[in-house]
Amino acid sequence: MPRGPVRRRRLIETTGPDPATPLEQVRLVVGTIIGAHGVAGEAKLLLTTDDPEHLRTIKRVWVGREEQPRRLLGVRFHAGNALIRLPGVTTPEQVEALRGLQVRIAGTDARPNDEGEYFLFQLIGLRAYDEAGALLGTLTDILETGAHDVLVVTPEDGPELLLPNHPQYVLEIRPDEGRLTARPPVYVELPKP
Amino acid sequence: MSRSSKKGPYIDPKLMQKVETMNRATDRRVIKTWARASTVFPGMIGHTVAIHNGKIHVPIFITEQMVGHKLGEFAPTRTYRGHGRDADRRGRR
Repeated sequence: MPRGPVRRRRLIETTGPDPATPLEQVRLVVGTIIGAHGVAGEAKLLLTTDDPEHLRTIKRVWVGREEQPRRLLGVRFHAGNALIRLPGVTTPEQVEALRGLQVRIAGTDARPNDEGEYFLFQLIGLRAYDEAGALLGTLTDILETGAHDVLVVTPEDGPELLLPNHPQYVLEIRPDEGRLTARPPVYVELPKP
Repeated sequence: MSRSSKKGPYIDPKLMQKVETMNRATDRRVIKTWARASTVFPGMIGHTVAIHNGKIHVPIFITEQMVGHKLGEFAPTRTYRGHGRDADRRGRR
């Protein structure tokens, strides 16, 4: 059956807390259980965190939409995935029951942000203004490139604005106020070869 | 197989000319380019180059660490959509 073009899902279309949500109230997804590894009940985790090594310091995780956290008994890494051990999960069959569930950590357990760093949920949905205070649009997506990130700002009408996440273009980010201040890039056109 | 060192790095001549003209005028506007195979040369440092990824021009601020790499390395042609905004990920500067 022929497949049509797959539309890129924007980050603003995904679920997540508002930018101003305090870190204490946030659960951040570190990965998704994709299967069992071995016969001892280790769960293979497809990682979505940008700092996998920090998982070694995590003591509790939330699996799926569970209200109560589970202890994290162990973490090791294999073939680009994390292998985690959870209490009461000792067979591959028990891991299979968890397949597809997301594993979350408390926002306060995540690695503290460095200067100028913000979690994705703190950025997506921010209103972007220029230096004069005019509204540019809403930050709807982030493109991860080989260098810095590129912020996608969608105005109410007109084309999207791409902002390199560099101090020359993104002057100030205030998740608590739900806004960022930016200097939109000015382009020179080159003739297409 | 790597490029012969006798030839030197490939730099798109039109792009190089544009950058050098802008350097003389201390112009820092963003240059759009399709030349993904062009090597980043030291004169580009401090410029922002919008590199075509097959669909859009992705604006990339050129820094010293990028010199010697190809422009295409900084504008991926495929995007991974495996995580949502509640992922334990941070915006990178």
